[in-house]
Amino acid sequence: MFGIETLGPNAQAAALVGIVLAEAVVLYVVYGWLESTFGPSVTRVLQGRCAVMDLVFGRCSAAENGGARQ
Amino acid sequence: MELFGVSATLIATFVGFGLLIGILFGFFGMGGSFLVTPALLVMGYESTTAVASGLAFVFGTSVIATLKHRDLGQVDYKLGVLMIAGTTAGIEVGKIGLEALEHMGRADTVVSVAYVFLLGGIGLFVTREALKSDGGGGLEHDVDEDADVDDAEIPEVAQKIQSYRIPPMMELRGGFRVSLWMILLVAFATGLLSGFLGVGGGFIRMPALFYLIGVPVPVAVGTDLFEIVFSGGIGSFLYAQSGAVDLSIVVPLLSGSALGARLGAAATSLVDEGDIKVYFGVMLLLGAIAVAVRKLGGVFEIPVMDTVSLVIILGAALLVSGAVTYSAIRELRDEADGRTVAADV
Repeated sequence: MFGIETLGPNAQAAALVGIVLAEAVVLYVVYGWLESTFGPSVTRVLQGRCAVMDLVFGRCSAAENGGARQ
Repeated sequence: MELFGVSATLIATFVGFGLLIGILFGFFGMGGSFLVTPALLVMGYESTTAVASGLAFVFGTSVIATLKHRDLGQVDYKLGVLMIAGTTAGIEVGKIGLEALEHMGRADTVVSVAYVFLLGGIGLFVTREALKSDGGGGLEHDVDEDADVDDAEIPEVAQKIQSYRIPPMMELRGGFRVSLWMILLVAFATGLLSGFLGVGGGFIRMPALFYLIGVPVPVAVGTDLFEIVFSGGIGSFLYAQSGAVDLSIVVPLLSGSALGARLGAAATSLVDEGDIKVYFGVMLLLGAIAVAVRKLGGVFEIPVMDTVSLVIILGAALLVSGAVTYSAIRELRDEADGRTVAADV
């Protein structure tokens, strides 16, 4: 997998640790972006202030007063 | 359907399993190899592949969870480096003890019994402490570095250890001081057990940081994870030299756990630890039972007990990660209701 089988034992081990580390950092960045982009909307759904379908159709943005009833 | 020569169903299973473990890992700073390795063994993987892939997975997850805890200000790097030094020495001595037992031909039995008693003992202790504090006596998850920790919030043993003023004294996150030698002693002791039992040691180190040194729980979790990055990385490299790490297991597991670790780490800022500590203790107790069941299955040659053991472990993981998620959502809803009432008034 990932074409590292042809390397020597030490290089293969280092490459493998590097792949896991790189995947971890990439996932951290990607999930971080997803969290900052969709996190507030998902939080509002979990708080019961917004319906799931509103989230899907992008109608779940945070109100200025935090979404509290007027 | 296959991806990289691996069935899509298996990949989906690993992603889902990774999500579950990630929540626990992000929240408690433990539960990686403890859950993954037995699951892989029961799925039919060879023991070296199961152990090595479990370790590589723990390495990746700890990187993600540490980064998240760092963002929340919950990693004490000074304490982490000291713990790494003490733990490494302890692991070496523990390994010597294990090798001596192997020469006597008693390593397997002694280690299994010690593992069950230690896991069960810590589980009982944590559960008892949680029940004693009636669910509300835990430390707050939010940590103010400059604020002094109230003595009443520090466990008695930790207060005793903090009272030994042997210089040099170290100032730790949470605003308290502990002797450098006490930190090294605790780190050495946890490393000793870790090396002797051949486990990562998160389930020993995290409670030790809180109950023995008095580190606030979130900082104990973050610092423990920081240490696992190093131990997991070195361990993965050593196993990978013999080709024991299987990336087709690690990659999908990690993609699920990265999300779970983020959710678990975020939940530490929401959930009152007192609500959850009892589940943590119960999970350790169930883990001890699962290991005992597997060991008995091996002694009496009853293969189905391996599956029973896995079901207990997975059930415990599902129960506790469910409790963490439920408590976090409940806190969010309570917070929202509070704001709504305030706005109405």
